[in-house]
Amino acid sequence: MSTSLDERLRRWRRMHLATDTHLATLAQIISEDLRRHAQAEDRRPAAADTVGFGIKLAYAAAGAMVMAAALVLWPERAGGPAHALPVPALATLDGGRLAAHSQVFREMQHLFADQLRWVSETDRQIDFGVAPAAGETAAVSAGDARPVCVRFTAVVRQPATDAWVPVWYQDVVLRCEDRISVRSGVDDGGTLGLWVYRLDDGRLAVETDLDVVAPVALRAHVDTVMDLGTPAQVLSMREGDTEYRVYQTVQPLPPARPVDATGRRTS
Amino acid sequence: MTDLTDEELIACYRDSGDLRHVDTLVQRHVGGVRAMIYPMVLNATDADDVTQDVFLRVVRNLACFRGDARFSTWLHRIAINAAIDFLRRRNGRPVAPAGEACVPPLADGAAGPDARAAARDEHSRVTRALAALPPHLRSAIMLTVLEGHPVRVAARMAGCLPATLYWRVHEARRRLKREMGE
Repeated sequence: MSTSLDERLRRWRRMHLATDTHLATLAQIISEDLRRHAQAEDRRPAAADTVGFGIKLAYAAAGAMVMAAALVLWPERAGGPAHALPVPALATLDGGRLAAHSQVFREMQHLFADQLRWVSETDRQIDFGVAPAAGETAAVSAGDARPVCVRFTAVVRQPATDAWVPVWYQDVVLRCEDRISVRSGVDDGGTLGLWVYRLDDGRLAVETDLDVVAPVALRAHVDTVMDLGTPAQVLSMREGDTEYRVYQTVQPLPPARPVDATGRRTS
Repeated sequence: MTDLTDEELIACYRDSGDLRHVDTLVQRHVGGVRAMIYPMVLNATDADDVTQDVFLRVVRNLACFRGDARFSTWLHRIAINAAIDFLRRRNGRPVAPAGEACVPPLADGAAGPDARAAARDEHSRVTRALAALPPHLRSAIMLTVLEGHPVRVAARMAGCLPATLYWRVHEARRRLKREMGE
């Protein structure tokens, strides 16, 4: 071709510009969509939070303290020996755990001026993510923003045994309709992408991109509609004679006790 | 309302919550956003869907817009993030079919059958070459070559350093030349 690369690309681009009619229709659809969402969320934009670096640093330190407290609060933490239990019991989110997640999320949210997006806990570490990169979904405080917890439980069954033994779990607390990507496993380079949507019938649609590297490679992309609190198998694989399964459980968090202006829980 | 600047419209929306101010922003920018999105997703229906998602994100994130950059820069950054999120979600699923059906009408007077066939080949070749680029390289070429933004502005939109964007454009050009037979 005698034309330059740039000119070829620009000519290609011109072929794909939408017509004025198409754009007018699209703008109309968007406007209607914005009104539907505004009605659904029943909220208006909050004032911008101006958080300086020093404040953020203080928040991070305070967040670390909350995380440290969470490590103590949650009695099921790892470190202990793995027990063979029925799979539903392993994958179930009990009330105490949900209440602890709720409390920690609420306090972290307060510390980060409503910019907290998610908290992730594996059997060895806790991570959290805050918004404010442009384009990412900022935290919201409206009623429908009640966080949900998604638990992933990987279990293994060795040959010649009937017992499933847990090898890894991860709890991720996030808000509906906020697409997130968190580290999976323990510093192994894996990722876990999640998106949760609340359906009219109360169930939750969960889109999962699971990419766990260690202790065993577990990969799956699953779109599923989940009954609350009921574990669903999202992956089953066999490596030699050893079987692995991953279960996913989702449950909205219970309301946390309110936090006052100083960050203390009120009774 | 249409005489107001973007930033004034945002201020009015923040004060009143009246979505008609946002409607004006949508009408003003929908064409530009979609034109950015299409080369990223390479499919007309997806481009419309992602454009819709962009404006939803804009409204949700208006509290984060502090006015230290132009609204259009902020908007374009949101658009890039939305497109890249979309591509991640699609995660390897095929992009637009490369068949004749997806080639838009030729607007440059290529009337003869040979010319039309050549134009179709050229269109398919460019589409395939863009589809072969990873999202960040695709966004770099889109911002600089297709949208014509200076590198510093494009870097702000892409959320990276100008040096990084230079590298991405260089690498994208190298790959495109190879794919497009230059």
